[in-house]
Amino acid sequence: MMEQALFILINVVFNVSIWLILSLSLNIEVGFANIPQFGRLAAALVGSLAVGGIIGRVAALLAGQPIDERFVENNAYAIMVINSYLSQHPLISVLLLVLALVTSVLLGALIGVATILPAVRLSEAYLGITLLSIAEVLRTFLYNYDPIIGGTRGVSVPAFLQFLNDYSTPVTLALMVLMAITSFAVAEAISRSPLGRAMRAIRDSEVAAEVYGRDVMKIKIYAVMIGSAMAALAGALYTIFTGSSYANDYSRFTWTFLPWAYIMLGGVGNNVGVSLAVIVMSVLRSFIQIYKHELASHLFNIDPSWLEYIIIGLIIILITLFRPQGMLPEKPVFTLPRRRIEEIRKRVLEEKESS
Amino acid sequence: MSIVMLLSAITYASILAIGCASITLLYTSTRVFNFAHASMVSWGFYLTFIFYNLFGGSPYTYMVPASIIVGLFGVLTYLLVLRKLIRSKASEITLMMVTLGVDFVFFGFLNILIDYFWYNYKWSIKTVNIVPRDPLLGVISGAPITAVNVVAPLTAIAILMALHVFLSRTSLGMAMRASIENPVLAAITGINVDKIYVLAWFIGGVLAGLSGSLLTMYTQGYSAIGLDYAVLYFAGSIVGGLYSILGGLLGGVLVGFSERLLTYYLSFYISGIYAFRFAIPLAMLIATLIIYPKGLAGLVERR
Amino acid sequence: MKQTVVLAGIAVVAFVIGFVVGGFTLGVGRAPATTVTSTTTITITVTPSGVATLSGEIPIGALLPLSGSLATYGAQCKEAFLLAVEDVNKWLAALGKPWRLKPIVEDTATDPTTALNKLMTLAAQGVKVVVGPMASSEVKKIKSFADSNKILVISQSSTSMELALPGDFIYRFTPPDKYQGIAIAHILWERGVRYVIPIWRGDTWGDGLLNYTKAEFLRLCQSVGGGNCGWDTGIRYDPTATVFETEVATLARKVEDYVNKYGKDKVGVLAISFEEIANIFDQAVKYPILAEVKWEGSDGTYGTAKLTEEPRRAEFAIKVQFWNTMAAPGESPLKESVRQRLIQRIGQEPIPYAYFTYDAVWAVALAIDHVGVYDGEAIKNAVPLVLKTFIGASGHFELDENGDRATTDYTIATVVKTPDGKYVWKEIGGYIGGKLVIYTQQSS
Repeated sequence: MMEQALFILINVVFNVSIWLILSLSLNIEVGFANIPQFGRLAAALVGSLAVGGIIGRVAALLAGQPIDERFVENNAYAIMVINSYLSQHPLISVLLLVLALVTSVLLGALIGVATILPAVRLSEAYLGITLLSIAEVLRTFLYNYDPIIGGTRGVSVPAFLQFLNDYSTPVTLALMVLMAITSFAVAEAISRSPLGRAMRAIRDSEVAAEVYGRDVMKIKIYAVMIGSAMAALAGALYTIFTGSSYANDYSRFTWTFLPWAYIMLGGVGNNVGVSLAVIVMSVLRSFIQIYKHELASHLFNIDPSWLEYIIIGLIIILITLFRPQGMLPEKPVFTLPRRRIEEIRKRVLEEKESS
Repeated sequence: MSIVMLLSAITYASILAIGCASITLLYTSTRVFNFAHASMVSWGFYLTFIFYNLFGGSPYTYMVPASIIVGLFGVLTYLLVLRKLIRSKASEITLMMVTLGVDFVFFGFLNILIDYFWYNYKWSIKTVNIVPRDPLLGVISGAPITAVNVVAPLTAIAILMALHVFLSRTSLGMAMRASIENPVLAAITGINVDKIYVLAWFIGGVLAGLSGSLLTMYTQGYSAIGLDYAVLYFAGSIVGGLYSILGGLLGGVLVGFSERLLTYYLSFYISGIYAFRFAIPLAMLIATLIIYPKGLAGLVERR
Repeated sequence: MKQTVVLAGIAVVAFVIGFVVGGFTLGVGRAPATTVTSTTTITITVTPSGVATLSGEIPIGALLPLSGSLATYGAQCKEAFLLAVEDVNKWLAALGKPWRLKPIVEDTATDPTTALNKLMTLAAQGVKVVVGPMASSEVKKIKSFADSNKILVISQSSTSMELALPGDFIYRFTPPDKYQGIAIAHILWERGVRYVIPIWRGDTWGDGLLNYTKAEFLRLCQSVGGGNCGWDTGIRYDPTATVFETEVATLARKVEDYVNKYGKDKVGVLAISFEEIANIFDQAVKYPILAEVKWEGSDGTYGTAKLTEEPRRAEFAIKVQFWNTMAAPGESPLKESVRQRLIQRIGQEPIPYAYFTYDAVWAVALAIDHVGVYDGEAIKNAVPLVLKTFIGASGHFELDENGDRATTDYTIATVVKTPDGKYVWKEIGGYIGGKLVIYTQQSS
């Protein structure tokens, strides 16, 4: 059953990579800059919009399909024509895919700035609730407003990699893994950069950071901008993989609260810890979903998806109570890894000796 | 003028207001912005339905046991989870997140309970709708008045008065106010702040449960009904300022009216506006926060 | 600091481009081989492989709305699905075949997102053929995944015209709404309704059915000169809504306007809805004017238990003569036996979609048996050929070029009160061969 194994892999890789990107993005905002981002779904939704609403229309233009309300009304047909066009034009397909990812990242950064700008002065709980509400307004709006991503009907998304035929799913998965690794690298790079250190300084003491001449507002805005751009990438990948853009996919539980639980479990501020938590929990989640029926028969017919809620809830509670630093506590970051410094030192010494 | 709409908006606003009072009470007393409110409302909703299905009679009879049970949930939450964190002066965000964990646990158990009746007794419990069983009390110019149209506003008013009397006339209530306003001073003067917090969480739970319980007669619901309405409860309490229980009640009323009546009247001019009805209170919330970061009550205080 | 941001941005873009260049070179290499299959005409490649590779349990999935706003249908179709699997397995055993079907039922909660998640987990359990999902919105949501991963989806009830497309991995064992729209428009017209105020579920299915009904009604209207008839803009509601106060208040206002202008006999309400019709009725009973006009429904509300279980709603349905249409199952010698056994399991008269579910399982089983492999594409190509000689519980039928049931007859049911005071759904007629047929009243 090779193919079944492939589909299990699909589930696992899909869950891990999307939520890894999402959690890392949240970690930049929450872990580094202490912004209570309860509106994570907003950026992801915008990422989806970039693919389904914008690039989908670009593809429609190329394939000679309408981009006005008929694009939404006869969406399934339009996408069929687009797909058949794209499968004959691999170059255009790939360009569109790149464009889709780039657009989503840009739009994500934009929405991040747009949501944080008016709210950045608010304190703790108020800021959290405001961000949550803005995200909900955006979702409600896009769910009911047809012209962009089809509202309640949603829009399908061109199958950019259809020209690869049977390889399209594996390649999409590879793309998702690659993007997850890239996001990790970016998050780590930021963490080690002057910007990352400035964010931490603000987190630990806003007043102190201000005293040392840091522009607190600006740094916070940067944090949200980068985080949102990343989250939008997650939304875009989700959209490309599932082949449709639909506002109600972006629920508060899966797109905001789940990443929160993951970063708390992994260790707020620690990219490695967060990644570890996401991998463990997402693999667990995938297998719970796949082997639900087998599990249920051992659990007095309780649906394991409810146990999932209880487990995640308990993890949040227990971690907060007994190990607030998470699985891997945040470590002070050195500008250069120690190994590297030692290497340099050795080399310098060697040079000295040889001379 | 649609009397049906007016009646319904009053009912809805009352139900929201009771829930908003809960959030406000818990925030003023323990600095906890209670995310578990969502599932507490759902529990109130379902407990009422389950008791009604098991024992029959009027659903209103079960408002009391349902809300007391949810009140005990509140006490448990405080004792098992929050007490330690509040003592160690955890940040508001930490407190919020931990109640989110509590919310998931409550939600999971509620669904297991629902599944229990669904699998074993074949109840149609996944979506609950007993609105048509609500007794008809009378008719005003063609518009029928059902019991919930009367019970909900009366309950809201009763709670407002009871809380007012409790906080201003009884010694326990005064102690509570003291420990809300200045916990350190209150502790020095010999008030057992811990006990007061337990009481606050009990009352908070009861109000959340009561709000859910009243929803049973007002609308159709499923296990995530609290989650769906949570944002509106948050909106109500924040518009109300989060600092006084009266403010919370008023905020709830305002949100309820704007969502129902405002959308109805706007729909005369903008067709299809009703689809966006949830966005209106949320937009109000955002506007309030951005213009008056302390909410409407802050505005009143300042003047 | 700015530099870091810029650098981070460049890093992201660079990675994307790097990957894409890799993907592109791969794509160019493969391009000539893949262009062939992209056109919509398919060469049928049913190869009954001589070697019987089938053995053991073959998982077949069902995506059904066991909860949510189609729960009544979901419960019925689940029983029909399981019954069919049992029957197929008995048949396979009698023939001495080494394989059996293993049913896996998943609840979609009538929610597109859940339907997709469940399809992905079904695929991970080795499923290649899925019966369901029931709502068109769900089918639309899972279409991309099914198409690109070659999982055959057979919906027993999705009727949206938007999904009537050739060459995809979606078959629908029910006729699309082009025909239902015509049927409903004619039924409204024949009932004497000249001014229609629609209230409809704003999703793929609701919007589509509304537009087809409206077009046909306006055509009828034009054919008699176009003077004394019309179609209101109506009320489109959010499919996830459970509260209908504003919507029904608006409906009442509109109906009142029309009744005042044209008289109550000429005004009708068309409710295109799922089980939320219960909530709509709960509000509608508050406005006496709404009980004065005729109401018309669709396949989304045909036979729903929500209306018969509450007397207040049932009385309203009777008062407004709430007629509902659903694709009629054809005549079949098998129907009665399936019907009896379904009634035993579900305790009520099965809706046509239950028969379509039953037939879907059989058609799939026969196709699997013919091609001898459990492969989505092979089964997809075999099903239309199997149907050529197939007689199911819903009669003999074939699929049109879009893979939809090619029949145009509809049955009509409404709520009635039995002599012992219970409320039940009763078939009162049909729209058969382009004509409205009302069965003569039996003494009941």
